[in-house]
Amino acid sequence: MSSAIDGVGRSAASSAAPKTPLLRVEGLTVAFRKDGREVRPVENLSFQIGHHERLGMVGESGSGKSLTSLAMLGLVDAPGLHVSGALEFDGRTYDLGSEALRRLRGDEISIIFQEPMTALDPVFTVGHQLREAIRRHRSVSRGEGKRLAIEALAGVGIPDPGRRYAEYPHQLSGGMRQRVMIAIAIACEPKLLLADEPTTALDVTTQAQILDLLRELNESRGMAIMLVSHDLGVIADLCDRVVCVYAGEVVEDASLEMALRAPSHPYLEGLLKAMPRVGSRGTQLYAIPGSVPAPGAAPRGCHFASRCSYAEDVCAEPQVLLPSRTGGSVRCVRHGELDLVGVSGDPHRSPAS
Amino acid sequence: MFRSIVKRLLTVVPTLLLASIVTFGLLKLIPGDPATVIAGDNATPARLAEIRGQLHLDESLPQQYGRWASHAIRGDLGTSLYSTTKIATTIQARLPATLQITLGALLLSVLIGIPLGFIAGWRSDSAIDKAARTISTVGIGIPNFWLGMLLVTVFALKLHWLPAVGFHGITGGLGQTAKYVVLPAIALGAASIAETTRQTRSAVLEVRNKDFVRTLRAIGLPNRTIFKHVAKNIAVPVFTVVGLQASRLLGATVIVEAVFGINGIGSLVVDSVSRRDYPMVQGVVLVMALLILFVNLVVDITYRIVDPRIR
Repeated sequence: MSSAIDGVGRSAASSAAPKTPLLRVEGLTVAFRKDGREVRPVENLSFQIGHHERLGMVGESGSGKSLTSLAMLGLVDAPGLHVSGALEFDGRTYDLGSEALRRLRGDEISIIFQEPMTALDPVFTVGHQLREAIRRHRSVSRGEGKRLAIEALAGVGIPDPGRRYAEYPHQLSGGMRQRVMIAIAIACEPKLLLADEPTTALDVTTQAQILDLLRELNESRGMAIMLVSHDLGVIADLCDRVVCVYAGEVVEDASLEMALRAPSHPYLEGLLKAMPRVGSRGTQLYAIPGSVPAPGAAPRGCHFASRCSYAEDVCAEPQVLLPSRTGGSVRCVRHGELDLVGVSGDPHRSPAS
Repeated sequence: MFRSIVKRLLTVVPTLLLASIVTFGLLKLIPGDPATVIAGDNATPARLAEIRGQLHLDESLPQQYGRWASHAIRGDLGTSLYSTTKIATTIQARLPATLQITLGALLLSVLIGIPLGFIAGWRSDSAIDKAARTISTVGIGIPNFWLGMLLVTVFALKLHWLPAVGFHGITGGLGQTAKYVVLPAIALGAASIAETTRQTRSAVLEVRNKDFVRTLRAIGLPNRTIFKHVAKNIAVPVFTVVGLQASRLLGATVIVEAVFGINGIGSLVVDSVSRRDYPMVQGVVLVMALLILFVNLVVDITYRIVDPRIR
C-alpha cells in the first residue's frame, strides 16, 4: 500500500486538531518599496502547524512560499525587504520582523533547502559542520561530538558514516548531501523542520528516499514538518494537510484528502489538473493559463481572477478566507456554487487501492 | 594532498628552465656589443676578439647558455662586466634591503588590507565600508614616489620621528631595522594595501551571500563560527591577491629605493642596464624569477591546504 494513502488515513482519523497548535503565523507580510510604492510579495499570510503535523505548503514559483519559510526564521535579509507579523511558537509570541526569532533557529525550528549542493560549506568536512551544529546545542567534548556526529549520520541513513564524516561535500552525491543537511538541521532536535523544496534538485528515486526519511523522523521523533513545494505529488506523498498559497496569500487550507479529492479553490483545482499521471499519456497536459502575477501586479480583488475560468463580477471584490465545505478554509467567494474536480486516489503513485 | 603538493613542486623544474632560457635569450637579443663597451670605441678588432674570447661570446648560443646555466646552478652567476666583483656577492649584498621593504609592504597589506576588507565586505554600505572604499581608491591612485616624498617630509624632516634615507640590516636589531623599513614599506605598500582591501571585500561580499552561510544562520550558529567559515572560503582569492602583490612589489621597489636612497636590487638593475652589464642583469632577473616562482609555489600549496576541491 502506498504511503500517501497512510497519510490520508491518519489525517482523517485525527481531524480534530489539537487545541493549541505548535506554531501559528499571524499576518506575515513581506514588503519592499519599488518606484515609491509599497509592494508585498507576501501579504497577511496566516496559518498554523499542529504538534507532530506534516503540513504541505503548495504554490507555483513566485507565490511567496519560500519567502514565507525564510521569514519564519528571520532569514529574510535582502536590503529593503521589510518583514512584519507575529509568530507564536509553543505558547510564546515573537515579532516576525525582530531578531528575537534568532533564539528559535536550530533549537526549536530548523530548515533545509532546495540545493544541497550549495547549502553546505565546500571547504569544511561534513563531520566538522555536523559537529558544530551538535556542539552548539550540547556542551560535549570534541571526541564526544564526533561520536554523536557519526551517530547522526547513521541516523539519516548514510552508509559507512565513519568514512563520510571525514569527507567534503563535493565528495558526496546530491542525495547524500541532502541527508547530511537534514542531519545538521535536526542536530539540535528541533520541534519543527521547515523543508523548502528539499527534493526538487534530486532525482526521483532519491526524492522518494528523502521523503521516506522525513516521514520516519516525523514518526520517530514527533518532529513536525512543513514541506514547501510546487509539486503536489511530493506533498501528497508526505503531508497530512495542505496550505495552498497564491500571490502571497493563503487561498485554501484543507486536509490532504480533501485538498486532493475535493478542492474548494479553483487555483488548487488547476494545480491538481496540471499534474501528469499514469494514463494521461497521449493527452494534452493541462496548464493553468497565464502566470503568477509579479508582486504588486495582482488584481485588487481575487488575485487569481484573471486566470480563473470561473471568475465573475463578484471576484473583483477583495476576498477573505471563508470556512470551506470540506472543513478547512478557502479564499473564494464563489466556492459554495462551484463543484470542483479533484483527483481520485493517490495522484503521486498508483490509482487508489 | 601530499601527492599533489609534490606534483606541484615538480612543475617548478620546467618553469625554471624556461625562465632561465628567456632570461638568457632576451639579453642576447638586445642590440649592443658588450665587448665594444668594455674595450671602448677605438679598440682594434684583435682586442675586441680577445675580449669576446674571454667572455665566451664567440661560442654558439646553446654553448653559452649551457656554460652560464651550469655555473648558475652552483650559485656562480659570473663576474660583473663593469667591476670585477662576483655577481652573486653583489646580489647578496643588495637583496636584503629590497626583501625587507617588500616584506614590510606585504605585511602591511595582510595586516591592514585583509581585516579592513573583511569588515567592509561583511558590513557593506556601512560607514566603515564607505571609508574603506574611499581610502583604497586613494591608495591605488597615489603614485608611490610622491607618497614616499610626502612621508619623508612629514615624518623625517618635520617630525624627526624616523630616518629619511638609508637602510639598516637586520643584524643591527629588529627595532633599528623597523625604523628604516616603515616609511619605504608604507610608500611601496599603499597600493597593495588598497588592492588587498578591495579584493578581500569583494570576496567576503560574495561568500556572505552563499547558501551555506544562510544554513549556518538557520541552524543558529553564532557569528564567530560564521566568520570562521567565511574566512576559510575567501582564503583562495585572498591568497591569490597577496601572491600577486608580492610579485608586483618586488618589481616596484626600484622607485621607492631611489626616493629613500636605499641600495637595493631595483637600483642595481637600473644601473646594470644602463652599463650594459649583461651578466649582472641576467643574474638579477634570474634571482627575481626565482623569488616570484617561490611566491607562486607557496600560494599554490596554500590553495591545496585550504580548499579540498583543488587537491
